[in-house]
Amino acid sequence: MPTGTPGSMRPPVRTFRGSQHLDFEIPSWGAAPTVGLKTTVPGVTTCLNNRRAAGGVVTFSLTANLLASSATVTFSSSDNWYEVNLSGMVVDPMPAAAAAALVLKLPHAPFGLRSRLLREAFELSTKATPSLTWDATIRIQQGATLSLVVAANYALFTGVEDSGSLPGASSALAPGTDLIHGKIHFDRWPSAVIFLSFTPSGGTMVTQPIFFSSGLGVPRPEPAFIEVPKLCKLRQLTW
Amino acid sequence: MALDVQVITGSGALVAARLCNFPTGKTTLLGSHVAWLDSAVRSAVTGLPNPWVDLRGYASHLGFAQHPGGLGNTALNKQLSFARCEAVKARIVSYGSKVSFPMEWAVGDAESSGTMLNDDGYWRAVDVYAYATPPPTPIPPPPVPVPPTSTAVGTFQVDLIGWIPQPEVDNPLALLPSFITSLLPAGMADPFFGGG
Repeated sequence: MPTGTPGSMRPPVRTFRGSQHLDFEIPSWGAAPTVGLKTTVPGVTTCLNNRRAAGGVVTFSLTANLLASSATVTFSSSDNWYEVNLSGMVVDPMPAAAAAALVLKLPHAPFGLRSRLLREAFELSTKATPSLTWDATIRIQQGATLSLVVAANYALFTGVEDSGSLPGASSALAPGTDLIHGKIHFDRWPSAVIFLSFTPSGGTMVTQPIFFSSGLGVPRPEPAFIEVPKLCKLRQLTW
Repeated sequence: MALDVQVITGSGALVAARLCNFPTGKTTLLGSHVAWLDSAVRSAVTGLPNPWVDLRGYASHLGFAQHPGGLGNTALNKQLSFARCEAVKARIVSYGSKVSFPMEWAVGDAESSGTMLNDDGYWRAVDVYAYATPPPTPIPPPPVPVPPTSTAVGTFQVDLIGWIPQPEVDNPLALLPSFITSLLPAGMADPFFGGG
């Protein structure tokens, strides 16, 4: 955070970014999955002094604060599917950074008091800033039938969620009639995409999007805080 | 008149028959006896491991009638029935197999019916029971080792990326692997990240 406000700086344009990755191998159907890489990476929030198209440059950037994350995969013998659960909580770093900058500008504040004020300002501003959260559930099942009970728990494709019709996307991740299905609940995060990649034993990797929400049709510049939270259905794939 | 060879069923033996009509007071095998022994008993005791034959000899009451004091002589009839067993045994031994004779029972005329002058051919007889150990159950050959095949289903990767689309910021798609961005519909990416 700069100690002074650049004269050319305009109100920061903020972008939240975060990504989560999980890969796992299924040794044989029903066996415990072997989890490989599991990461959750908070994005970078940047501030520009103008629109990039108008020649704006980044004045500073901050990494978002990752408050919590989890990525698990388990086998359910009763449902005969592997269930992947991805979740995370990321908070905008700008309010906390701005509060900290404000404390640092307090004149004549004793050092001990200043450090406490810094901590309090950080915690308060963080708590006051809505967190960006997501909870995704992906089920990789054996069998071509999706029970009515499970299907009823998936909302229809509606509103700003565009997963229902992705031009060019295939409905098959691999030859077969088994199903992959799921849902995502995301909050203050109008644009998100989930890709599922599958590398069959001895085969080559195939990747398909199973979720895409563009944030279309919502007011700007703060669309996220109006339309969400939202529960969306993932694209159903066969494999 | 009894048949020379009366097949015995239900005994559990491989083959069994009662060889009747031995000549009175004699141990001579009839031709029909020899024929049955050489066919049925020979195949039973030479084709299988551990063969054995049980013999049970009989005599009619008349028995050694011509023998001095033989009429109705239980001891002599017992001896006669044993000698008939021995005659059958000698024939079976001639087959050359290692057959054993664990039971060779001289009944004599103890079970014979009729009067002391009865000479029914049914009682001038030897029961023959031929056994052998059933062939061992062949041990199934060990399964042909099959090279292990991979039963792995495969590997899954899940990538979740989120952003707030604003044209003024860095193109968030630049953060994504190229194989993912290539899958995004072009029309969807441009309105939001065109400034990149």
